[in-house]
Amino acid sequence: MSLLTRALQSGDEYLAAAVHPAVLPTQRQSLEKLLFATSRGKRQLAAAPYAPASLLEALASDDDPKVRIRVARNPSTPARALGRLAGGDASTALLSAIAAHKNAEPAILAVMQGMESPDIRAALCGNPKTPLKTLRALLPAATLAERKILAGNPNADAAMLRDLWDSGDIYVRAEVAAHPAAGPGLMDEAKRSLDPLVRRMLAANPAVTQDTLVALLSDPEAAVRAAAVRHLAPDDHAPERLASDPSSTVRRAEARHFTLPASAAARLAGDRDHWVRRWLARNPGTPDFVLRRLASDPESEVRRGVGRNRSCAVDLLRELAQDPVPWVRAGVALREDAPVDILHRLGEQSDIDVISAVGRNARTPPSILERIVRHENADVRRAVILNKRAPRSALEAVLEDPYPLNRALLARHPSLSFADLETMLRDPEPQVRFTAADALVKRPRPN
Amino acid sequence: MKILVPVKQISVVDEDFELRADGKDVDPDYLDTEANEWDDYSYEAALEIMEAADGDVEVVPVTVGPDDAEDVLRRCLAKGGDRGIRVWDDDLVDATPAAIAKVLAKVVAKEQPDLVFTGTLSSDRSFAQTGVSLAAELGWPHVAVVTGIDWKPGDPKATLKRELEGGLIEEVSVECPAVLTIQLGINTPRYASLRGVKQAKEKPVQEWSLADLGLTGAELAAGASFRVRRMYKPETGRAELIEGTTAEQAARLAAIINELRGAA
Amino acid sequence: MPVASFQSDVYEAAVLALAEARKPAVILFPHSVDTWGYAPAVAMRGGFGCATDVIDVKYDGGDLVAVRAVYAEKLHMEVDFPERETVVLTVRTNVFKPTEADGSPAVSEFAAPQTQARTEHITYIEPEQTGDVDISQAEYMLSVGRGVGEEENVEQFKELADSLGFTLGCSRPIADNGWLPKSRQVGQSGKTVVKCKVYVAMGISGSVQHMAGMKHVPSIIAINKDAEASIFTIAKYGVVGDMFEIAEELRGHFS
Repeated sequence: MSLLTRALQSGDEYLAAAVHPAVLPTQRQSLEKLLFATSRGKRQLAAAPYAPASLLEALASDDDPKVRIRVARNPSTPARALGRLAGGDASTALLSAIAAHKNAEPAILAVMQGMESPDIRAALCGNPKTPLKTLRALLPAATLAERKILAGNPNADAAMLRDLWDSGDIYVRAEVAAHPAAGPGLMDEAKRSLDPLVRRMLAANPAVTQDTLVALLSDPEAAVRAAAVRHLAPDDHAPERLASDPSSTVRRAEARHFTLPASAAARLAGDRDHWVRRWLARNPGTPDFVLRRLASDPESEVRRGVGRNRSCAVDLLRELAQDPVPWVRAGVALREDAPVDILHRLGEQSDIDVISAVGRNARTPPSILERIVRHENADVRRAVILNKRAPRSALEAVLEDPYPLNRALLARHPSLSFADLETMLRDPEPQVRFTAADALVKRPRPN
Repeated sequence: MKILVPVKQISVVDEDFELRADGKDVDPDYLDTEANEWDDYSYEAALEIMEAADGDVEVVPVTVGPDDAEDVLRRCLAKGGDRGIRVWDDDLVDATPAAIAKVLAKVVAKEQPDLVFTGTLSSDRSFAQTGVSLAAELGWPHVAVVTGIDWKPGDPKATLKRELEGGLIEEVSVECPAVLTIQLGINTPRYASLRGVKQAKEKPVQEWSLADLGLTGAELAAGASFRVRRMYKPETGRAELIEGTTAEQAARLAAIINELRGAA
Repeated sequence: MPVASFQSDVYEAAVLALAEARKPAVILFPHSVDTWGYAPAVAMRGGFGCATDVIDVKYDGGDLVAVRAVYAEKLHMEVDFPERETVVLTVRTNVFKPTEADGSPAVSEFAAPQTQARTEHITYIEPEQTGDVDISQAEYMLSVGRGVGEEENVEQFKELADSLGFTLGCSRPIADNGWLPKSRQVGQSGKTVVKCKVYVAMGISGSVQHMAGMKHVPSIIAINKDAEASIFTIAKYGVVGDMFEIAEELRGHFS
């Protein structure tokens, strides 16, 4: 039986919703008859995060304004449906939902630029899809609140930002200082600003020059120095000096820096602030000899960081796999480059974080997965369900998992057979039926 | 030995709802139904005792609700228990907790359980009255907000834990039969197996009207503990949306966080 | 530590006898664990009107009117008590401001009736202090969800929670990925944060499963870039914005 027939015969709305995008327009009508039977059902569908774009498009032409506004607020609604909504008899609330929508076409947003509703204006000021000419048109009459939003819009240009800088308060200027389009003149003014917030935002500006960042390294405010360190390119900073900065905020930022010289890393490895050591342990640029030292740090989160560091050597992983703290061992068990014998050993342990990590690991052999998937804890079983490399043999035990969410996630698993998915179409849980139907729709049929 | 577990189908309001024409409740078209969260815990507590007793204890879920409230009984029966009871009468629409307690007291009189477990409250109206009102109607001892139960068939008393403000736990005993209202977190409620869900469809649910229980709508209406005048959307919505740039939002958040934990 | 233990039978009998003798129009209780255990019984046995968790009280003409919140605080419900001489109200704590002035009540003694309690106090137990983090006991929490994006990003929220003195929690996908221990997972299949007073949800959209574990928290602060995220429907304070930028800024206020 085809999914379409099954949906129509069973009257199951969840099957019908899943099948809708995959059938011909004429067939859609029969599904819509079922799906749109009640206004309550339509409202729920219009707001549903799982509603397919085809259904949202159909609902965009609905007579009920409550349905239309939900479609406009649904993040999955496609541009075409938003265009249809804007073209019809649209309330201010509906238009402001469209004006705020990330899928709205710039052309639709441009049409709204003259509207006086504060909600529509605020939404247009903040939408990254709003074109520059519309932003410009909004600027002259913009309130302070609107200027703050405009200053954060990625499409604002240098001229607009200049206007905003000159007319705005400290918060507007801070936003301008962080804007990549601010240009050299504004950035220079920001550098000289007496307000640390403005200087700190400047240090976080992706377009700021290296010279400016180096200058900000000597800023009296620790937060500004920390922001500058974070964004500096490799060669231009003074790690030795920073590694002994009196502010732990600065040293933490330094410890995160990708190209940290070995001498600075060695010094930070002995820092009394454990967050400095945690960041260092996670830093893929931290040299091997420092990682080895951190692997025996008294703070278990530091050791966990080493185990999660992609630069951690295999022999060090072996060592960490023996750590007394389960969370450290779980970090090793999660690694796809962990030797299989380690996975074998960790897979026999009792800590649920450790065995879940083994269950989730794409390299774990099926025999271990088949055991883990029978665990009494639903979270542990789900680790195997979420393991995309798990073979069907490892999933058989969870086809009737009592936890509904586990079954719904299982329905997404590529190793399930068509027969498995078809059985799941009769699941008591709507989410499972929808997901199974959706998986069937999206999967190419074997010939 | 028998444990009766009153459970409830609760209503959840949809966004941008409308009120009913009389203004006294939400238009049913904007209400979704689900099982009351607390009842998962009370039913689990009963099932745990049943399983530990190995055949000596019967667990019976009961609900006061219209046809579709049968779902919450089936949901219970999918986890365990052999039969359920549903009481309904059109006169019970808008019934107060006092009226529900009177109805349940009649069910207790018929069923003669040793213990009654209710949820501490139901999350739609949040009265937290029904369990204790039922005990008062029966003249039974009762303990509310229970977080631990030690009882096996034949015990004249149950030993309980109840959690007080500030996390202090009191251990108390109560003479049986008794009504206990069960708090969230007392146990880890199970999920029904697919087989359980299928079997539950075949389990009998007795349906009783007010007349079957020897009650009348007029009698219950006279015993109503309050009358609803109206419902309305509070003027201040629930969420205060914090506006401004990120720096301003963070400053406001920091102030809110400090205020909430009394640091200031 | 309470000096005398609560016995519902004794409390009920005492309040009922007093009400019988003095015929008050209203009996006010705080909405607390103990009154959950006996105020409704007093009302039932005395045939009184009753409303619990009351947030406002007023008179409309001669009628006493109580206001209470329903449907997860989305609506308020106004109730009255026709033909009831006495009404029991349990009042939500912290919603009424204490008056500045002292009253001058006439205090008189009333002998409580002898009552045989059918419950018996055994002992008080201090909550267990476990070495492991138990989020179900945490009063202040910061939780991260899917919005955190990748494992490396989780670290800065741990750091933030640390500097706030908050306990870090997470939604299911984060624990499923192995980025935080399962003991930190809030919601269905994880833990219910029963003691939590302030819950900061960052990058959590608010699935049914997650909200099951925290929707009861009195002060929920939600930070999410999607203004339509369900979490905002239960939040007391909302920020529509980038969780990383907010975290970065917040850090400055707590270091």
